[in-house]
Amino acid sequence: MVKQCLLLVFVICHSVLLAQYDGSYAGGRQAAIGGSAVTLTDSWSILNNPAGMGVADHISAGIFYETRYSVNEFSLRGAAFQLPTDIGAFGLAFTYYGYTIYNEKRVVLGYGRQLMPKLRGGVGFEYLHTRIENDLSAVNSSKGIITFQAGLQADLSDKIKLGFSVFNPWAAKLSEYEKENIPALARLGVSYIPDEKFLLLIEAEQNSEHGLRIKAGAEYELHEKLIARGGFKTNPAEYTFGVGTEFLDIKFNISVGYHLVLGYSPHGDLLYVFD
Amino acid sequence: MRKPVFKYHYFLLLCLFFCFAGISKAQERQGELPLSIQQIIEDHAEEQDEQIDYSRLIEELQYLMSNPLNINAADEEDFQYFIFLNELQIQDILRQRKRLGEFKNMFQLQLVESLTYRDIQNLSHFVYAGEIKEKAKDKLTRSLKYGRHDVFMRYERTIETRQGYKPIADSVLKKHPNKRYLGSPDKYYFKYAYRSQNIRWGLNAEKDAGEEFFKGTQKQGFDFYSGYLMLEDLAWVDKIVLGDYNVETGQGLSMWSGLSFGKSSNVISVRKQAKGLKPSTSMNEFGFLRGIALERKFGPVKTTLFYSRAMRDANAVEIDSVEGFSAVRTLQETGYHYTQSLVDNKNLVEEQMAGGNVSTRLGNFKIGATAYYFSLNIPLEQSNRLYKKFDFIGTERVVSSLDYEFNLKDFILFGETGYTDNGSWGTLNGFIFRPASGVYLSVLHRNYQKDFQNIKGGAFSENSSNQNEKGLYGGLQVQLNSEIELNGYADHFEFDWLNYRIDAPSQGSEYMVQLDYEPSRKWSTYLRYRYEGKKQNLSNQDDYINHYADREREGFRVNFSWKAASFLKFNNRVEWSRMTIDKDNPEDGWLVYQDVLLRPKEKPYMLSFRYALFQTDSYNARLYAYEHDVLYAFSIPAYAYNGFRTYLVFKYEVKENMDFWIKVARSQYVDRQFIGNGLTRIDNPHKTDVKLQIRIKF
Repeated sequence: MVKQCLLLVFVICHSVLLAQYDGSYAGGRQAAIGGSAVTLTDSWSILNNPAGMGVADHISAGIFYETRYSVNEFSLRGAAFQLPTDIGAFGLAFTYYGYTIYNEKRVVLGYGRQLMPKLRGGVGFEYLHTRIENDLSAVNSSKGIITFQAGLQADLSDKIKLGFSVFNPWAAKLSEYEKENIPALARLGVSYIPDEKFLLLIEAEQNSEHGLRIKAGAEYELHEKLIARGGFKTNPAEYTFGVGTEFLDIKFNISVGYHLVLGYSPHGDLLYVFD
Repeated sequence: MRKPVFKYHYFLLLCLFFCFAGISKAQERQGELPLSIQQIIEDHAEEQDEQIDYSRLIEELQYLMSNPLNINAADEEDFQYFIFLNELQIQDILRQRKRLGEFKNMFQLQLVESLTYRDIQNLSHFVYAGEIKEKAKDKLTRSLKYGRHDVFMRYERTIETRQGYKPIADSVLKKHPNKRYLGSPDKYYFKYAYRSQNIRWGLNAEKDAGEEFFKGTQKQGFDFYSGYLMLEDLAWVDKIVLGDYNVETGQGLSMWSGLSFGKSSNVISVRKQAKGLKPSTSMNEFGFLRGIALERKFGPVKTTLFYSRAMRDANAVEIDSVEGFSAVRTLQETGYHYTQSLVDNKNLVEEQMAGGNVSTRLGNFKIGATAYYFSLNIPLEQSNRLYKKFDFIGTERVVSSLDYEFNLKDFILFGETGYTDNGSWGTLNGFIFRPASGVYLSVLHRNYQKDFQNIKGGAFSENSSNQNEKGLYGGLQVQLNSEIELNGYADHFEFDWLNYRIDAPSQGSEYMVQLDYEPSRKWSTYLRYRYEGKKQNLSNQDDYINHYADREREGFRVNFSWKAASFLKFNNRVEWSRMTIDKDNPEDGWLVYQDVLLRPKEKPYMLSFRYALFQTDSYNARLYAYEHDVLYAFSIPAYAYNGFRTYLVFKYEVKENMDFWIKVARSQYVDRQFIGNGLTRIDNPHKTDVKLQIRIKF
C-alpha cells in the first residue's frame, strides 16, 4: 500500500517531493503562512533566512517535525540552536528528510547580525548530504556537498519589512547522472504590519529547476497566547492553516497544509527561549 | 486598534467634491455609473460565456442615482445594491448611524472609519442624508397620487445586412426552414413602470432582431411580455407581487433567481446579500418566476411564500402525431425566437414552482430556511453528453437549504447548506474579517456534489451551476493609505466529474492582483494582473479519446481616469491578454482605448465617445470592456480579431420630463472581409449598430 501511495505521489508531482532543499522551510509558524518566511526573525531563521538571526537577543532552541502529505517516508524533521553574542548571533541547525532507502541531511552553521540600524544580514554554511539505496546494483550511493545561504532583511518603516535570500546560488551538482543539481533559490518577500496584532506576508521564490512560486500568508493574534495563521502558495497550489500558542514558556506552533490532490501535510514545532 | 481620527484631508476633498461637482442636482447624477461599479460588471461579464442581462442591477442603480436613498431611512437590505462596499463597511455605517441618531449631512459619513474617500464619493451618487419622514398612513391613495410614471421606447438595428435577412429561394427555404430569420432586423423595446412609496407596477415588451412582429409566428405582437404589480405595507401583508418576480434567499444555494455575482475586483464581497422578493423588471426572458409571492413579518420572523407557473423553451425529443411529444431535452435560456425551430421550441414546457423562506435574526445570529418544489409537465430527458450525466432529469425536484450568519464588529461568519431530494447536497461556508483597520480578508469554501441539482440556485461558484465543484477562495484588501489600495484574490477549485470541454476530472486556479492609486480627486488609476489556469480538451484530436491540456489565461490592464474639468472627463485603458492552450502557440490580444465624456453644466445634453484599437490572435484572446450606453441599457462587447471600434452616445433633454438618446457604434475590421458565420454573417468588414431611445416621465 505504502509503495503504491509513494508511486502515485511521485507520479503526480515528483519534482516537488524529491528534495527537501527544494524550497522547503522550517517551523510550524512558517508552514502555516504558506512558507513565506524570508522576512521573519525567529529561531528558525538559520534555515529560512539567516539574516533573521540578526535580531536575536536570547539563547533559543527548537525542534520541528513534518509529515509531507501524511506519508511517513516523506517526513522532515529538524532542530536548531541559536546563541546571541556581542558581535552577532551564531546558530547551528540540523534537518533530516526521508527514510532509510532515500534520505537527505542538512547541517547548517549560521551567523547573522545587525549591519545598520534598519538592516540585517546573515549567512549559513550548509552541508547537504543525500543518500540513495540502490536495489538493483546493491551499491548504495551517497553524496555530500557544501554550499551556503545568504540573506538580507530591511525595515523600510514600522509597518513594512523586506527580506531577500539566496540559497545555493550556483546550483551545486548532486550527480552526473541526468545532470542532477540541487536547485538554486532566490526569495524576495515583503511583510506588512498594519497593527501589532496582524501580520501580512507575501513572497516570490524563484527556483532554478521549477520556476516561480508565490507564497502569501497572514497571522492574527486572537489572544495574547493564541495566534491564528493562514496562507497559500502556488506552483503547486497548496493551502496552509495553523495556530501558535505558549505553555510554560514553551512555544508550540502547529499547522497543516492542504494540497488539492495529495492531501494534508501536518507540521509542528516546539521552541524554548532561555531568559 | 487605532482611535478614529478626524480625517482633515477627507474633509477638504469632500468639501471640494460636494461644492464643485454639484452632485446634489438630480440631473448631474444621471448618466455614468461610478467606475468601480462598471469594473465589477465588466469582471463578471469576462467570466461568463453567454451574455447576461445586467439591466436589473443597472436599472436599480440608475434609479437610485436619480432618486437617491435617504441614508437615515435605509435598512441593511437597501445597501445591497452598493456592490462597491463590503459587508463590514455596511455594518459600520449602520452602527455609526445608531450612535449618531442620524447623519445630519454627507460629511458625517467620514465618521465611519472604514469608509475611504472613494467609497464616500461613490456612495454620494446614490444616497443623501435627510430627515426621516413618518410614513404616511393613508398610503394607498397617496401612493396612487404621488407616484411617477416612466415610459421607455427603444429601437435598435444593425445597419449591415446579415445573411439571415437576405432573400432566399422558396424551394431552399422549404427544404431548410431555419436558413432564414423570420422577421425584420429591428429590435423594439417598450417599458412602462409606475413607482411610488408603496405601489409599483410595470409592463415590459420586447421584440428581438429577427423575430416577427404582429404577424406570422408572433400574432400577439411582441415576442416577450412581462409585467408585475407590487403592493407594500398593506394591512395583512408587508409585500405582495403579482406577475413576474425574483426571489433571492440566503447565500443562493437553493434560490437565487436574480443576477448572481461571483469573483470580481471587489474581492471581499463574497457573501451574498439576499434581496428577498423583488419584481422582475428586466428583459431577461428566463430565470424569473411568474405568479404570486407574498412577504410578511411576524415580529422578528420574516416569511416569504411564492407560487410560479411559467412556460419555458425546450427541445422536443419525440413527436407523436396523436399525443404530441413525450419528452424534452435541454431547457433553453436565450429568449431568441428568430428561426422556425426556435419558435417551435417556444413555451413547450410548463414549469411550476411553489415554496417559501423563513428567516429571523437573534442578536448577532441570523438563520433562515428555504424550500421549494419544482416540476415540469413533460419530463426532461438525459442529455447524451457525458459531462451532463448528473444534471436534473425527469419532472420533479425538491430543493431545500438552511443558511446562517454570525456578526461581530470585525467579523462575519456565514454559510448555507442545501439538500436536493435526489439525495445530494452542497454547502458553502466563509467569513469576512478585518484584522486591522483598512485590511480586509475574506475566505469562502464550497463543496457542491456532482449531482446537486439546485435548479434555481445561484451561489458562489466557478462553474455556471452550483454542481460538481469543490474550492477555496481567499480575498484580501489592504488600504495602505488614502491614495493606495491593494486588492487580490486566489481561488482553487476542483471538479470531481467531467466538465464542459473537460473530459476528465480536473482542477484549476485563479489569481488576481489589483493596485488602485488615486492621488487626487481628478486622477485615478489602477493596474491589474489576472491569471486563470484550467484544463480544456485539445481540439483536432485524431484519437478516439479526448485529451485535455492546460488552458491558461492571463491579462494585464492599466486604466487611467482623468477629470480635466467639471464637465470633461477622460478615460484610457491599455490591456493585454494571453491565452495558452498549445504551449508553442500562445494567443495574444491587445486593447487600447480612449474615452471622452462631456457633460456641460446646465446644458441639456451629454456626450460620450470612445475610440478603441484592438488586435487579437484569435477569438480566444478576446478582451471585454464596459461601454456607455443609453439609459438602462448596457453593453460589454467582446473585442476580438483586428480592427477598431468607435461609439458615440448622445443624450438630449428635450423637455423636463422627456429625454432622448442616440448611440451609434461601429466596429471596423482590417483582417477580414466578413464577420460572423451562418445566419449572423455580414459580408462587410464592418458592423454598425444604431440605438435610439426616448423616455417620458409623468
